[in-house]
Amino acid sequence: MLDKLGLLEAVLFAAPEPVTAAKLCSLLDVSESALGLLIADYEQTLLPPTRGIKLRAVAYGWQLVTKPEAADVVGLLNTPRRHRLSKPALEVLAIIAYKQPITRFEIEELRGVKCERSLLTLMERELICEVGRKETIGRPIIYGTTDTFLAQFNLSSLKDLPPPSV
Amino acid sequence: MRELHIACSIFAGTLAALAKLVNSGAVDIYSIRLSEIAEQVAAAILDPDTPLDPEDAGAELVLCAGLLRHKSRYMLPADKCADATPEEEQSDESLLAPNTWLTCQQYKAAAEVLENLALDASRLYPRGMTESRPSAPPRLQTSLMALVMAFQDALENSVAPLMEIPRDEFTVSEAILHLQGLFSGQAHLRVGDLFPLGSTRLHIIVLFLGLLELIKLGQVDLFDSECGELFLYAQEAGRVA
Repeated sequence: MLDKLGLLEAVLFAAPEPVTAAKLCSLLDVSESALGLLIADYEQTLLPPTRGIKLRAVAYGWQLVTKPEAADVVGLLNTPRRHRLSKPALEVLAIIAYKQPITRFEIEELRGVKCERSLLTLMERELICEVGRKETIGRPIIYGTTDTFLAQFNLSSLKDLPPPSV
Repeated sequence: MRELHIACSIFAGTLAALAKLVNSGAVDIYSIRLSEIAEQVAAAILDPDTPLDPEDAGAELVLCAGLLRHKSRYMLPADKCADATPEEEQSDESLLAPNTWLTCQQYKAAAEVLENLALDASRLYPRGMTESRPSAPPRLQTSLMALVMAFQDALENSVAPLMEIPRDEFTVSEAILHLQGLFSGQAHLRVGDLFPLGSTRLHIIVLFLGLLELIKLGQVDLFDSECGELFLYAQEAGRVA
C-alpha cells in the first residue's frame, strides 16, 4: 500500500502545474509541518545524480521538473520554443516585479521612455496582469506580476527576487 | 552594459557615480560645468570608432539630461519651493532626477539578473512541456467528403466581398501552380493552412477545384490524422511535378 511519500510523488507527478502546500496538505491529509518533512524526505530520494528529476519550489507551490543536466536531451523532444524577452521588456518587467503595484506612467518616469509596447508583450505572455486601478486622477491601471512570471523565472515567491543593485 | 567615463576638474568616473555623489550631497552640482560633461558624452556617442550600444547611449543621455534638470531646479526662484507643502516637496523629491537615474540603473541591473534566472529556468522542464502532436501526423485514409466539408468550413469563415470592382483573375491553373509551389518545400500540408485569414470565397472555390485536379492526377493524397485534421501528402515519386 502506498505511504504518504508515495502519494506525494503521485500527486506531484500528475499535477500539470505547481501544487501549493495548502493543496498538498489537504490532498494528503497531513499538517503543514508533516508536509515539510515529507517534502524533505522526497527531495532526498531525488538527490542521487542518477535521478533525472528534481523537486522545485516555484510560484507558491511545488513541482517536479527535469534536472538541468538532462536539458540537452529533453530539449530534443517536441518542446515548444521559449522566446526570449527583449532588453526593454525585461527592464519593464524588472521594474514591475520590484515596484508592484505600479502604473504605466510611473514605469515611464523611471525609464525615461515609453513602455506601452513592452507592457503589451508582457501581458500577452501572461507575465504581468492588471491588478486594479490607482485611486488618483484618471484612475490609471496598476500592474503586477503573475504566477507565470514566478514559474518562468524559477522563483517560489516574490521574496526570492534578488535585491536590485547597481 | 558599457558605461562612459567622464572627467572634469573635480570628478572622474561614470555618470551614474557622479549622479550618486550629487544626490548624496558629496558633490556640489554648482561646481561642475555641465556643458563640459555634455560635450564629452556627445563626443563619445558620436565616435564612429567605438560605437555605443543604442540602449547604453540612451541611458547615458537620460543621465546627462537629468543632471541638467537637477542643476536647473536650483536656479528657480527660492520662494516657489518655499510655498510648497511638505507633501508636495516629498513628491518633488521623488522626481529628482539623480535619484531616478540611479533607480533606473538598478533596474537595468535587475533586468540582467532576471535574464540569467530565465536562462537557468529554461533548462528545467516541468511535466506537460512536450507537445503530444507528432511532427509528422499519422496517415489514415479518408474520403473526399471530408475534404468537401473542410472547404465548406473555410467558405463559411471567408470574407464576403462588399462589392467587386475588379474581376478576380485567379484561375484553376494558377491554383494548381500555387499548390505545387506549396508542396515543393514540404511533404505534407494541413488543409486548414491552405486558406490564409481573409481568403475570399472565389479564392477558396478555385483552390478546391485545383486540389481536386491534383488528386485526380494522383499527385496528391488526402489523409485524416488521428486528431481529425485533414492532411495532404505529395506523392512519393518525385513529389508534385
